[in-house]
Amino acid sequence: MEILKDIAQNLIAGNDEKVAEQVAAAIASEVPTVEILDDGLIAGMNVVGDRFRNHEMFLPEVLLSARAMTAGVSLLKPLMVAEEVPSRGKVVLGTVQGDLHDIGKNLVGIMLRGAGFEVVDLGTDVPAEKFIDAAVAENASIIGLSALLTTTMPLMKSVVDLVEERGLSDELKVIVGGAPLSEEFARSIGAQDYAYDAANAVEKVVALVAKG
Amino acid sequence: MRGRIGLEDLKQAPGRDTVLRTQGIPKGYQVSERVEALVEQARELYEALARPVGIIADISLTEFLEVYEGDGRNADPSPLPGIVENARCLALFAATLGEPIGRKIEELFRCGDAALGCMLDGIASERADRAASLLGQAFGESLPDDGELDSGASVLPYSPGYCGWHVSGQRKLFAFLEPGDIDIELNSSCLMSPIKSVSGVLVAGRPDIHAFNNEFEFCLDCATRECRKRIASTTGRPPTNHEWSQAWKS
Repeated sequence: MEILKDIAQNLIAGNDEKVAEQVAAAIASEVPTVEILDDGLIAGMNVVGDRFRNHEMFLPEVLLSARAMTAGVSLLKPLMVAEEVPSRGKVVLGTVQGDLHDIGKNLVGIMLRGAGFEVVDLGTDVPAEKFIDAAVAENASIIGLSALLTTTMPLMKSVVDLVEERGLSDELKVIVGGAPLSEEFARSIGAQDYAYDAANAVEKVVALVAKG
Repeated sequence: MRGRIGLEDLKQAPGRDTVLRTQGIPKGYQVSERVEALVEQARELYEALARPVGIIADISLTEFLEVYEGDGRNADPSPLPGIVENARCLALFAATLGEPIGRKIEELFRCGDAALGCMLDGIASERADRAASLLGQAFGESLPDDGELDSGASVLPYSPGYCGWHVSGQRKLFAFLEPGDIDIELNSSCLMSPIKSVSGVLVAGRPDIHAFNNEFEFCLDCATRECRKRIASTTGRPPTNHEWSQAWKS
């Protein structure tokens, strides 16, 4: 459908006014909500994610696309609630205790929302218990941990250990990220996955949710 | 030397190319008008909100080792004790860009304008790093020239939270430095407020004292290798294995 292609194209170009205008037009033309979301907005964000990963687009452009995504989703939201459109999953995110760096974590949140996930952002300097409590209370299936300081990285293990201690390992997966981290580190602390950037985090979360 | 240092140069935002670099955009990449507009908006916001100020206090090696010990939670071994032992002079430092800029960044993210928030954050982080460099330069210039230090290039800042120095080291650092004078406070997790603040120790000495091999236990978990770039900045190139081993023997 032409209007959905236009929505995706304008989202890729970061044109939020145009995306809002076209989403409103699609709603008025009675295009199903799920199609506007999946074939317009999420399709556009998927291209953005691919281009970002391939260094064909850069952070400000991705964030302008995310802004356009938000403009479109805010118009769809009441319809999604009314039609009970299911989200792709729920993720609890935060920066571990002792660390105030939150830009990377915020970007992951934006990209995940853009990909259709619900995100509960606990902010920065978050104690291990709070991650687990929030994940249980929100019925989330993924916890995303961020750290920038090498000295706070070990606190990620406390969260992984606590998930284990509370017997939640089957339903609650932990994914970690942050500039000084690596795949090896994630493996060494028992995290289920590691993401090297925000676009990669979306891919990894999608895969973890699919695995169940 | 002890005192408050105005960082007037940092009231000005970095140039367009530097701002784009903070966003990971390579030189020569053609950005859209929308991105150009964001850069200008972020630069203007920075200049309207930034209140850069720093503080420096000389510290002896013995005093510093006491500060470094902190709550006894540092990685052991770690490179800094060896580096400071070979230093000519040391000073503790802290600098901040002030509360308004951090508040604005948070507000932009909260209200969904991450594009502008991220760009303003990039500018502020670059300026905060630059604040540490400028304090290092001021410290280097305050030292009498005995031929060993012919420029500020061999002064490097080291901060709690990095290279094995546990972030809890901030408590003793703050007790010695008293950066309340420039309105920086620590929270219960030893993190600084305002958020766009930096602190640590300035280490002045021959460039080769900063060289160390990144084979400490915590280095294995660190993917940034920022230390290599820092060491290269003092010598113009990464240290060879021979140089770092000589530096440790001297």
